[in-house]
This record gives sequence, structure tokens and C-alpha cells, in this order.
Amino acid sequence: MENGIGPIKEAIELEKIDHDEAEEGRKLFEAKCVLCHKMTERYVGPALADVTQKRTAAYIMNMILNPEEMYTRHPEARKLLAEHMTQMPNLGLTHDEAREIVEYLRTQTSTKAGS
Amino acid sequence: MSLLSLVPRSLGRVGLAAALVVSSGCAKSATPVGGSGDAAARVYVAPGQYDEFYMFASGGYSGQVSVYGLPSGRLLRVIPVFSQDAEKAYGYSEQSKPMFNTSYGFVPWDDSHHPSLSKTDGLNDGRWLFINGNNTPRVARIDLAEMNTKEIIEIPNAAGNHASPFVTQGTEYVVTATRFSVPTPQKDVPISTYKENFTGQIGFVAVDPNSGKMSLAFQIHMPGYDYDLARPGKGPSHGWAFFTTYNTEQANTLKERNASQNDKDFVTAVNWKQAEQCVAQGKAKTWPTRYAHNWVDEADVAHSEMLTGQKVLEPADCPGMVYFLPTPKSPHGVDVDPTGEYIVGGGKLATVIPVHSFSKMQKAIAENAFEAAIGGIPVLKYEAVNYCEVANPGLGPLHDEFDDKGNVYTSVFISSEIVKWNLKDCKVVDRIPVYYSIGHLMVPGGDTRKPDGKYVIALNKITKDRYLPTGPELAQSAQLIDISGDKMKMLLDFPTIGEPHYAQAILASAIKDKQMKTFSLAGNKDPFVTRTEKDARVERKGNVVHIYMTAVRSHFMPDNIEGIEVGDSVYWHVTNLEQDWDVPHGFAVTGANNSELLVMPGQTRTIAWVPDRPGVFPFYCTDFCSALHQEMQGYIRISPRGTGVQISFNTPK
Repeated sequence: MENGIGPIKEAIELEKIDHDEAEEGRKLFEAKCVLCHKMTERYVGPALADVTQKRTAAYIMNMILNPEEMYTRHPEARKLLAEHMTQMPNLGLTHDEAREIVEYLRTQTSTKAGS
Repeated sequence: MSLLSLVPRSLGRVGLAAALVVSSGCAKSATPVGGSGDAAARVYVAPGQYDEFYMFASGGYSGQVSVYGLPSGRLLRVIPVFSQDAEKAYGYSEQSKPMFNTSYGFVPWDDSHHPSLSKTDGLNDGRWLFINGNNTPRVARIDLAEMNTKEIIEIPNAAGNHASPFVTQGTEYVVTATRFSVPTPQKDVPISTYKENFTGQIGFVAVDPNSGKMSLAFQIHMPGYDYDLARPGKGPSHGWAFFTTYNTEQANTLKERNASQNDKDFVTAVNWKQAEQCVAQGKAKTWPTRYAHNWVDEADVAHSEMLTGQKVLEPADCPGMVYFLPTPKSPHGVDVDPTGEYIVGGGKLATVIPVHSFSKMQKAIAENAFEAAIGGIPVLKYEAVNYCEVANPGLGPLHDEFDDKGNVYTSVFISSEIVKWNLKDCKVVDRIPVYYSIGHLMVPGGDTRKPDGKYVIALNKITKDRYLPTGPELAQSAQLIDISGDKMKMLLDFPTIGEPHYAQAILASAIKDKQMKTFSLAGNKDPFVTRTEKDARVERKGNVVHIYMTAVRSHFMPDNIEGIEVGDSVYWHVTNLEQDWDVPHGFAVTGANNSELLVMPGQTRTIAWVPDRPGVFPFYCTDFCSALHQEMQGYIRISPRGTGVQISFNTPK
């Protein structure tokens, strides 16, 4: 369950942060995610600054790529739905785009671990 | 049992109609009016399952096109075409208003009669649906992946554009015609000079095979008769189009009596390939008419242009282009069978159904079997073109549709029934009463080279006691009939919006998976699009204020706006940032003199608003979008004119 439910079936090994990839992820984040997510405060969805510390990369990617099944069937995502009362929409992102967003989120942790 | 048998033969025609109105109550209990035992199973579409066919019905005086599922008869959508629709902001949003432009100015309504699916090689191809506007003559084109109106073209020199917009075999043209002859071109003359001054036109609108874009090709200047309905030929008769033609009496008043005197009127046969040749040879004259052409561009924004000039051919200048086929009596419908050989006339006041043969017609032309000529148009001899007359068809046969087994189904208005016969022996083999007073009927694919068959739908004009009554105004009734066996079986009754004059159906599988789900936000070319919340803003240009607003579950950005003054022209440009299926957002602000906005995912729509008083006014999302839909709301502050409050608005942090 720590990897979530969806197209990512295996854990993802994370290496040093790729800043080019993170930059692509930032652009995507600002186009698609800022509507509902801020980094350090709750907005429509939960704050995301430390999400890469709390969840595996696979979990985050499955949340991005397969939100409907996650908030219907995964216990952690279901808890968040009950708290936020808004279903995360499927934004039609590709596997690579979701991976880039994860890379960007890694640069947003409040403790900057793993850089 | 036919209603006919209930009425004494001694009654005249008017008395007959009255007697039938009275007796229809009795007929209801005399014959089984519901379906047979398995009818319920035949029309039940279980939750989660889909209908088999899409049926597109004209809205008649509603001006729209309605979409039903068959066999369930459920209403799926009302596509706005010729009438403003405040629910969808159609004709109210800045992007859609140009669709209503005509040479008479903004015309917010019309009377839509005959939907016509685009065809390739004589088969429905699922690209477009064409529909006519009868009152201010126009033709509209609907895109079937979006189910929205994309283009409207005005038809000059016409009045009562009724014989329209039937589609040729390869969608080369859609046809138009004049049902109410008028002075053409218009001029001020006494109405009693009808015979001297009133004429008609039969027109061809070209359709671009790739884009669907319509353009006026040519018109044929015809004698002052009523050109009522049309069918293009197919197969061997492809290249010809046939138009029912009545009021050869050329009456201009009390036409009910005065246009019903002659025993035979005509089916007009037009060889449009010959017409094309005459146009190419320069035989057409250009009449200086003005007409509007409106279309939706790639940015999903409508435009309108005024064009001039229409090429008109005189029959005398183009021999071989037009012929009259005598047809009893005030014929209403004309239909061409799947093989393209038989031309069936609906002789509204006739006692038979006349069937002409295309090959006999060509032979008659080659052999000069004419009995007269009118205005340069040869009148062929009836016996030379007629194939058969179907006897005992009931009273008031109108329209014919065909199934996949060589059978023909004819709607019969006065005796309120559908009769079934076939082209082999022209004898009635079955009849079924319909409730009540049927106009058109439709077999899925019934006007193509390969009908789907299975059902015939009766599109009835009188409803009376078929459903729970709803005050004096009742929905019109449609009935689904099973034609798969030897005997027709009534399956289902369902009410319809407006007045479906005609309908067309296509297998759901042909277009279901091509349906658009969202508009692409990345591909949005609207000049006022706002692609991210960071770009949301309010800009003042003199007295005009542009609000670039985004909408997403469940907030607008910006949602607090200040610095607007009484009398400003405010344009709300709302972009729906969703890219998920079926998440539209609505938008409405207090006191708007137009309508709401309904914005699809990825789309931008604009509504104009002129605040007339100071204060703070709410705006909100009108289409339930999420659990926090009620919180999807904002405020706009209006200051008195000249107070100079600065424009300000909130931004995402």
C-alpha cells in the first residue's frame, strides 16, 4: 500500500535530484497543480512541501495518474478526501510528466533533505 | 383495425376528419394500444447500458435539434441551432451571438424542420447533421462529435425554406427551395398579381468535403408553385434531385381550397449535374442579393460576414435541367428507395400512392414523351413515368421510408396510421394505427442505400390523451414500432420537444466513441483565454473592463474585484481550467440582462454586463461541480461613476 494503487506497480529508486527534470516539474506544477495545492498551507488540497518525505515516489505518481481509484480505494487517500471534500481530478498527465512533478516536489521540502 | 372502417362512407372529406377526431377516443379502447408482452423488454435499456441508436429530431417551432436514444426514447440533449438558449448562453455569449446574424439583422428564432445526416456513398457517415430554418430561410450545419452548431448560411430569394436541407449521395450539396412563392427578387406589387409576379427557386448549397463549409452554388428560377419537400437521388439516380410541387393552381389566398383543385400537381426532377455544366458554361446570371454567412472558427468563436450575389439559372437557358412529373394530388412527400430507381410521391390529397420509375423517366425524356411545357420545363406524360399506384393506402398519405427488405412504410395523416407495402407488387400488406395524426416517419437509415431497418418511428402531430396532461399545451408524441417481423408491433410511446417534423437516426456505435470529452486547454485559441490562475487579472481600457477569470473546482480567480464603475462595459471572460470529463462550470452575476455562462472544460466563454447601480454584487457557479460548489462564488464592487477607485483583485499567493 505504500506505493499506492495505479499504473506504477513497483517502488521507484530515487537518486540525486535532477534539477533539469525538477524545472520541468515546476512548470507543470504551476500550470496544473497550483489551482488546488500550495506548499506550506492547506488550500483546496493538502499542503505539498513535505509530501516526498511522507509518501513514496510511486505513491505520489499513482495519486497524480490515478486519482479516482486512489481516493476511492486507498485508505490514506480516502482519509484526505474525507478531510478536504473535493475529489482530485485526473489531469491527463503522462508518466514522464508525473515523474517530473515528483522531482520538483523533492526540491520543495522544508528541510531540503536529499538534495 | 383501421380508423377508416369506423367512419361512414357518405361523409365528405371535412366531415371525415371531424368524425375521425371524435372517433379516435373510441378507437383507443377497440384496439390494443400498448405494446405486446415483450415490448417492455425490447425498449428497456438497463442502468449502465446504452441505447442502440442516436435519433436526431427537428425541434420544429422550437428551432433546435433534439437527440434521443433508441429504443428507450430518452432525451439525451437539445442542440441549440436557430433559437437562443439561455441555459447554454447560446446567442447570449459574445462568442455565439454572431450565429444569429441575417440580412434582417439579429434573428433569435426559427422553425427547424428536416434534419439530414451527411452521407458518403449514400450511407450515413457520422460527420455532420444539416437542418433548415424555414421562416428566415437558412441552413445550419451541426458537428456530430461536439453536437453543436458550427455554421449557418442564409438563403436569398427564398421564402419558406421547407424542401431543405436534404443531402445528396456524397454530400456534394444540400438543397433549398421556396414553399411560399414570392416576387423574386422582392418588389412591391399587389398580392392578386401572384400569377404574373410570384416565382420560386430551387437551390443548391455546396458543402466542402473536408471542412463542411457551406457556400451558395446556384439556384434555379422556377414557376410560382409551392416547392415543398425534396429527396436527392442515389445510385442510378445520383445527380438528380426530386421536389414535390403543388399549388399549380397558383392560388394566393385561401389556399386550403384554392390550391387543392387540380387532380395532379408535380414532382419536379432536377438534373443538378446538368445545372453544374450550364453554370460552368456561363449560362447563369448573378443576382445582386445580400445574405449572411456565420461560422464558428478554430478558436470556437463565431463570426458573421455579409456576402452578395447568387448565380441563378433560368430553365429555358439550360435544357435538360428540369422536368415536371405529374403526380396526384398536392403531393407532400417525395422519397427515393434504396436502389435509387423508385421515386415515391406522398399524394396528400390523393387516393393512391404514386410511384415513378427513374429509368422510365429517362426513357420518356429520350423519347420526348412530353404532354406540355411550362416556362421551358417539359411536363412528362404520367403514364410514361409511372411505375405503379398503391391502392387503398388510407386517407392522406404523406411520407415514405424504406427498410432493408424492400418494404416501404407510408405515414397516413387523416386516417392516422402507417401502412406497409413493397415495391414488388405495390400492395398494402400491413397497417398499424398511430396516436394521433402522423406527419413524418423515420426508419434508421431509411433514406440511405442500406437502411438499418428494425424500427419505424411515428412522429405524430396530435397528442391528446397519450400522456399525463400538462395544461393546454402538450408535448408531441412519438411512437416506436418494431418492423422486424411481418406484422408491425407497437413498442413505445415517448413525448418529444417542440414539433419533430422529421428525424434521422444513426447507429450509436458509429459516433459514440468519437464524442468530444473536453476542449484542450493547451489548444485554446480564444483571444481572451486565461490558461493559469497566475494570469488571471482585470484590465481597464477607458470605460471597458476585461475580467480574465479562471474557474476550477471550487473557486474562481479572481473572486474579489473592485474598481468597476456604474456604466462600465464589463466583459467576463471565464476559462474553465478542468481537463476532466463532464466538469462544466457555470457563471452568473446579479441583474445580467442576458444569461448565465456555461463553460465546458478547457473552454473560454464571455458574457457582457453593464452595472447600473453602486454596491457589491455576487457572482457564482451555476452548474453543480463539486462538494464545495456552493462556495464557488465571488464579489464585484461597483463604485459610482467618476469616483476613481482603482481596479484591484485577489491573486493566488
